[in-house]
Amino acid sequence: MKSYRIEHSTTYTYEADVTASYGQFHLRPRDLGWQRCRSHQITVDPAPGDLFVHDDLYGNAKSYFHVTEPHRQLVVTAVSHVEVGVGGPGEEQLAVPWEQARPAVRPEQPDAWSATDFTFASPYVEVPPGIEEYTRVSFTPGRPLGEAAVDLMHRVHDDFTYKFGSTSVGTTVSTLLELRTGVCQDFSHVMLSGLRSLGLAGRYVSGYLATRPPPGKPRLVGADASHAWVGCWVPGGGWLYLDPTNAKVIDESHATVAYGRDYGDVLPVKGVIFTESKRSTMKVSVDMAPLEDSTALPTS
Amino acid sequence: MLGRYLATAGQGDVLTPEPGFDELAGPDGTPRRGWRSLLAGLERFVDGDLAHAQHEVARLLEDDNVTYTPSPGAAVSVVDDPVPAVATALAEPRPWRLDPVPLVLDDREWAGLEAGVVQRAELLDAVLADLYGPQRLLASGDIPAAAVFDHGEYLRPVVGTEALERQRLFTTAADLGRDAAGGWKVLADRTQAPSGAGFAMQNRRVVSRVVPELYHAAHLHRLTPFFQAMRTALVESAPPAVEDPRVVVLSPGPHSETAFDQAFVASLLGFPLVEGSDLTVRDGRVWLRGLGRLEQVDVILRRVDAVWTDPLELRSGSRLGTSGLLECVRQGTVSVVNTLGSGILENPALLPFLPRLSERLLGQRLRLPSVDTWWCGDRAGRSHVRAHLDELVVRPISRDAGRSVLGSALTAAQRERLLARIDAAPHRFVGQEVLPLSSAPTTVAERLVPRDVVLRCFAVRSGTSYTPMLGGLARVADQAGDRHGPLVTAPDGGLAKDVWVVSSDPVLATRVLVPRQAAGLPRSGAAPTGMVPRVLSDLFWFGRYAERAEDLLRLVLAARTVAVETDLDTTHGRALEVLLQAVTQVSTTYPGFLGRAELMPELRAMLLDRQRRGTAAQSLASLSMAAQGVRDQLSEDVWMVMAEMDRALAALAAHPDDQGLQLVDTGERVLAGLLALAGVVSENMVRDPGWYLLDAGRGLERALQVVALLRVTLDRQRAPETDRMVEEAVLTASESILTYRRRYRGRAGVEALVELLVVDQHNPRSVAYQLARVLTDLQALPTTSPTARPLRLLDTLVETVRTADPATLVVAEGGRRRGLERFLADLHDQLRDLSDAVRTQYQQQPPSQQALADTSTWGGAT
Repeated sequence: MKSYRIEHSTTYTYEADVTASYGQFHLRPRDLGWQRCRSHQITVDPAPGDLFVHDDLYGNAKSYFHVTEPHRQLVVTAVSHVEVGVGGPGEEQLAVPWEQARPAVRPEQPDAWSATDFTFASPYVEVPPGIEEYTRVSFTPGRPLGEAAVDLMHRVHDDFTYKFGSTSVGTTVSTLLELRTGVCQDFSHVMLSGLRSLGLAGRYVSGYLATRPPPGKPRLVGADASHAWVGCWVPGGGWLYLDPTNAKVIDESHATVAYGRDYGDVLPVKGVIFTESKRSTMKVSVDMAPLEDSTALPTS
Repeated sequence: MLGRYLATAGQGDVLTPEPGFDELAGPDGTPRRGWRSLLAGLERFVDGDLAHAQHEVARLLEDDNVTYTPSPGAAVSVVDDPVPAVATALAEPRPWRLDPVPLVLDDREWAGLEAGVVQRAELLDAVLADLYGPQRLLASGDIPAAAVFDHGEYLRPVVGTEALERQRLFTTAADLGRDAAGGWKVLADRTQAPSGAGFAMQNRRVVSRVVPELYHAAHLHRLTPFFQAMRTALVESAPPAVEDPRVVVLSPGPHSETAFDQAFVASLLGFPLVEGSDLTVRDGRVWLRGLGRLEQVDVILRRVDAVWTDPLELRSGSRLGTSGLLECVRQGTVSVVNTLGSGILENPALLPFLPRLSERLLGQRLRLPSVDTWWCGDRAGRSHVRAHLDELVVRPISRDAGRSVLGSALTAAQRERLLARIDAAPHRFVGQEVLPLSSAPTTVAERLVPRDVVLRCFAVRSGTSYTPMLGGLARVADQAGDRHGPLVTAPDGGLAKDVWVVSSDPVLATRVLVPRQAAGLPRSGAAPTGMVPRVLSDLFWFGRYAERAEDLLRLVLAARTVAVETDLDTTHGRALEVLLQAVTQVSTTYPGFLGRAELMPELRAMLLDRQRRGTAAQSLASLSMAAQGVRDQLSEDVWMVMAEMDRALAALAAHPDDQGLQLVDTGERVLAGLLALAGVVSENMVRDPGWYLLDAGRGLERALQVVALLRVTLDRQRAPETDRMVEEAVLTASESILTYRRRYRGRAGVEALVELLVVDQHNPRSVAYQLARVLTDLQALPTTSPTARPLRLLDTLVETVRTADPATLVVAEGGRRRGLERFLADLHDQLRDLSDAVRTQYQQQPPSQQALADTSTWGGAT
């Protein structure tokens, strides 16, 4: 079990007054079998007239706010204390032939129907021609699900170059297949598209990754970023979470915030503003600081 | 006429050798129950009566400007490649077409149909509640998850919203057709935001006026109780603890497919018609943006497809919705009906499961069957569809995937493409039987001929159940044997028919009891929606365009008179040239007569060319668009007048070689129409903020037009004879020639003209008069403070005009009246500033809306 203090701050700056700003965010780390959110605090500046929270259909905490005061800068800051352990399906469940891991053929599984929601193309994850062929290299007939999925993860990691700024949020999977570069969202979207091309259920996970400083260097505060990875449904075993950007099964360094079909379902912050401003800039800073002793944390 | 119909209908023909079911003619050639009184009336028709009725129907529909705008996307079928939505231009509204002969249903048969429609509404409501609530039907497999999760109207942000209880399936419509045995089957359910109830009412109004003798003889159930029930149900949909709820009808605007239906329903219900930008969210509630204040909204009757209603949570970038609306639904502070997400029930993949769902959820057998439907998401369904493609209609489960297609009508290539699409995502398709449909007597070229018919029935929530409309909207095919065509595959193809549910006994009273308090009067002192900035803006422009068109017509007619008097003498510097150039300059239709335009073609264009800015045709088109946007604010007489003006313009368009006679005739008829419009506005409209803005718009435009005309005609001295003709024409165009002659008796000249048209406070055509009028209008608006900018500008303007001395202004030097030129130029600028200030003060729209997203590309590599 590892503990972290995570500070995630998003700043929008406009060149003219914004008279009203409606926003939504997914920033609260989830409570899961292997993870607990000990405390969570949100600050919106200027202070919003309304701030409501509800659980969305995937169980994520989703918040709504409305800033009524004219402003030229909006800052949304979340500070969370979270404890992360390890979880995931067992060996036996991962040994199932992947063909038997399609929700459509496992109606006896109580969560198969809800996993079906993650088997289709979604707004940011199309299933273009070519992706199935790419995926089948890993998913050979009868291969155990766990093995095949981990293989796909490694291939995406190896075949795609991590390159900041080479893509944007709207880059489609078919473009990614040509570019073969991207950031964590893109790695995740490609892998999800592959899983779904075979009828498997793949969900998008947004969260944070604790980065280790290079040996001998101090940890840089604020150098971290939001992160994204992938879950693959395992009959009888929940979900297997894989991080194709770093080619590893998630561990105590991955703090989960929200699940969705793709990036669009779980945007950290989005909104609608009313302004004549032609330009706006956005700055995100994330700091994920390990805490020495998790038991010392106050509970919220 | 009837004998022949009865003898031939339902007997089969070359195209359909199997005898089909005819609505009127029974198998033995005798009329069916229910039609007798109608037939008795029709038998008295003599030659020409039917054609006359058809003509009258078309005229009345035109008078009320009843239109339907085909959606550009509706032309795209599921085998076509999708068209980019942005590239398609706005479609032109099409006249609504209606047959004078109704579809008659006897009330014994109707009773079964009605019970089926009501039961179906209850069933769909229960399904909706589950899909957006506990989803037990998905967990149990009663409804396959794939049929729901991959449907375009499954709105994930709505799932789990507790406050939906009161606002689930508010109203629904079912499209029905008959099978070979004459039984009704449901072709499709309309649950998103059903349209057509307003059209049904309009059909009834028109038919009852055109064939009153038939209408009164039939013991016919009325439609009004349905609208009373709808009104009651809207009030009852309000969040708890709201005592006197404010209800609005949310429309996508005058360009939408069923804009007429929306506006008409709103006016029948007596609730304001609003657009998304008229609403705003604050303090977790929805408000109607008023003039200087916000009015809380409790219930929204939604005619905007759900995904467009909230750019924050649903479709980003939508201009038809209101940010935060869904959050207000979640907070329970507003009820939106039909609830957001109700479009999922239009999903034809649900149809095969309804009989079982009915047993399970209602404990009842499903009364009204659906057309036989095979969902390709299950293996058996898919192989059936593949094997029987030629006999089936293939429909995508989501409407946004395109129109359905008839298997037998596909080319080999289309067939391949369709099968490939089905194989790629089988759960997105269903195959459906092609219903034989029944035929109904339809007027075609003075005869009654059998045409295939489909029927739309409506139901609205009433307590825990539903109240049906005792009637409906029928559509018949345009062509014989066209049952496979647009009637079934396009949502609104064909010709409309009124639907008469007749009783063998006189219909005594309405069958719907309306609780007194619910049907009560609107709250006193409630702000009229004349206060919404968009509405004020539309009314302001209504006033301006009406005046602009009128002034241009007067000028064109005056120029035409000069043309006749001078035998078309367009010599440089002569009166005709001056006036023709004035036409171009005042209307800003450059280059026109400043270029090489020819007399008649250019004058015709001033009346007819809708594409050119500044023409009368364009002003009238803009006037019509402004009027559409505020249809619920206007007297219905407005449409009659506008239709008459359209007819006058059509008459001119029909004479391409006209040398001026028709031009004058059309011009005078349109002018008469515009005067009638002014009369309607003056005599029939309540003096609310909207009216004052309309009147201010008219006054401002008139002042601007007079100033513009004087600027280009009195700027210089010309030969005395030319000046005399120009001045007379200016006075004629300004409708002040009689006053001028009476008052000045020939003395006079430019000075008198300036006095009469600019500074005279008593001439209703003068600038001074308009300024006083605008001042009165603005002061009547509740939010005008004495220091508001428009009033300050008006003060200056009034002063400019009051202190003007015509005698000094008109002094010419070297042939040019520079003093007058400067004065008029200044006046023109001040008037334009005033117009801008009025718009800013009263019609201020919210700043533009932008999406705000975390557009960062994330890191995460270690």
